[in-house]
Amino acid sequence: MSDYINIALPKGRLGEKVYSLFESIGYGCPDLLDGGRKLIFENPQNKVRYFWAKPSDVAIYVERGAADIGVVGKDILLEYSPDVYELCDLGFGKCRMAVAGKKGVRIPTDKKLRVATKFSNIAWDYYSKQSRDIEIIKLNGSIEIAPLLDLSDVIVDIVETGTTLKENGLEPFETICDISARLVANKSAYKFKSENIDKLLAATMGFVSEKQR
Amino acid sequence: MSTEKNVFNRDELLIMDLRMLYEAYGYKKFKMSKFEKYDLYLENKSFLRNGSIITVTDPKGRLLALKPDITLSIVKNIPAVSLPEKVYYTENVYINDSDIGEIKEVTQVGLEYIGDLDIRALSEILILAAKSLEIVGDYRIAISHMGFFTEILDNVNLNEGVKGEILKLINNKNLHGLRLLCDKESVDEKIASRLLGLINICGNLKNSLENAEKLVCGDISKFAIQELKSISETIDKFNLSDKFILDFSVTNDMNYYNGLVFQGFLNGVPKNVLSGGRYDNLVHRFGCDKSAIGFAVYPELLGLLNYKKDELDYEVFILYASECEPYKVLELQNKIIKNGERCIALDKEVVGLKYGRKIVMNPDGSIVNE
Repeated sequence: MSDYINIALPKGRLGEKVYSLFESIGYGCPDLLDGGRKLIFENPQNKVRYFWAKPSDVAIYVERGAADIGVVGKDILLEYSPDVYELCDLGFGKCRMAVAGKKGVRIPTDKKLRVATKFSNIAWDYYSKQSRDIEIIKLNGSIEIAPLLDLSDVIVDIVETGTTLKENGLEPFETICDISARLVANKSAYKFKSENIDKLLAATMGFVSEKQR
Repeated sequence: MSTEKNVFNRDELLIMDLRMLYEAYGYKKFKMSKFEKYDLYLENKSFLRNGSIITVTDPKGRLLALKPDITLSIVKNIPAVSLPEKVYYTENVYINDSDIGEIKEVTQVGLEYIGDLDIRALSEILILAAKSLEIVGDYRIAISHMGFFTEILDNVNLNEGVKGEILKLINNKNLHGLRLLCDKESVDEKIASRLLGLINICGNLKNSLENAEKLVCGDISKFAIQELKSISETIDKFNLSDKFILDFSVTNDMNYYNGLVFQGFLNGVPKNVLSGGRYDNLVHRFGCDKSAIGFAVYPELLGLLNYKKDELDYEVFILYASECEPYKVLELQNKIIKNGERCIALDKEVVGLKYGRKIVMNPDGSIVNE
């Protein structure tokens, strides 16, 4: 059992995309896409075990060794800084972390800026680099309504196409950083399973650079 | 099956074994007082594993700290004569755990070798690190050398914040992140490729030295490689080579650590259980011109290892009839205990009792082994 590679996949669209990458490089697992409520799948032929986890939890499973490798968004890595190796940028789930606010409204500079966000650490780091004093209002979802209800002046959130913002009369002002899906690995597992993990990594990187051409 | 092995839990047994190992190699036990002045840790904050220090005020109003570290106390008190100083310790350290928002008390077992360090001494430390982990199970030791980093980063025109970011990216083997940062900060291409090259070196020590040699670019890295080669040859004689990995993602604060740095891992434990390095710079700060190297082990992390599912509660279960004479039952208990087995005597069956064998005592005192 310990010569298996344990992979944590984020539940949802991204996870399915990542799985088809792994499947095409030889790490497929027959029952995985069968649907149903099963959460752990193994393939004794290629010695790989997958399980589905909430996207924001994948990094915890990898950090604590329940999974050897996992795929997680750069936003989660920046927000929680898990102690893991970040081995590869998979290039999918591309979006960006941005500051957004009501369209056409000036950001106040004469008082403490109120920032509503799910990503309090990212917001904090970004503004402290600008030596800007802020008040963080931590929300868990639908962050876009905060400035509309005057709960905050701006928001820090993930922006993909910008359509959600536009439909709510908001616009992105500044890009904080680019986000995409990353392959992460447990630092201890990497010492004992380096051959298998390196093989998977090489095949993954090969696939990713092919796709980028 | 000796009683010791069953009564003491895994980390207590490890501590006992480590103490015997270190005494055998000539290290003497160091005992420290509970409270050092807060200033000691404040002035050397980046030497600490975890930056936040827990303070207490004494009756005279002085600010003291619950010790987060032992090495600083040892280095502070290096005797002028009687070097080399070879000490080991078993102490509790106190850290602020930001994850769970609590203060944690953690047992730390470690040793320090202060004096002149030749290849023999450096190898002794690494062999002791290996033996420390071997006691528990399958292990690996990842070795690196700060010389490669100081040589590159001391001569590059970047601010401390960026240098810190570079080291963090190297710690996480983040090749693409490092590439982006070097581009953003317009780092010279030769330097960038050297840093990226360091991340790529990760493999068995003996076999990776050749690749590491290609990254030598000055006297400091040349000396570092020589040191690594000599150490590799030495530990190879003890058949330890396949446990040692050359891994430059292992780094430590450049202000204190100037040479070998290393981490130890156990198969099944998600974080490193052992951490060590050569910290001459710290010793020099305290006005001593000698060298120093040491490491620390965190036995409580062993709690993360999977426990064997068939662990027994007791070796023997005595089921005695209530009419039995009490002294006869107790006599039988003593006999079994003298044998080194754990024993429980009850006058009725209990559900879920995990025992090795059962002895039934009849009212007349006769026993039946089941």
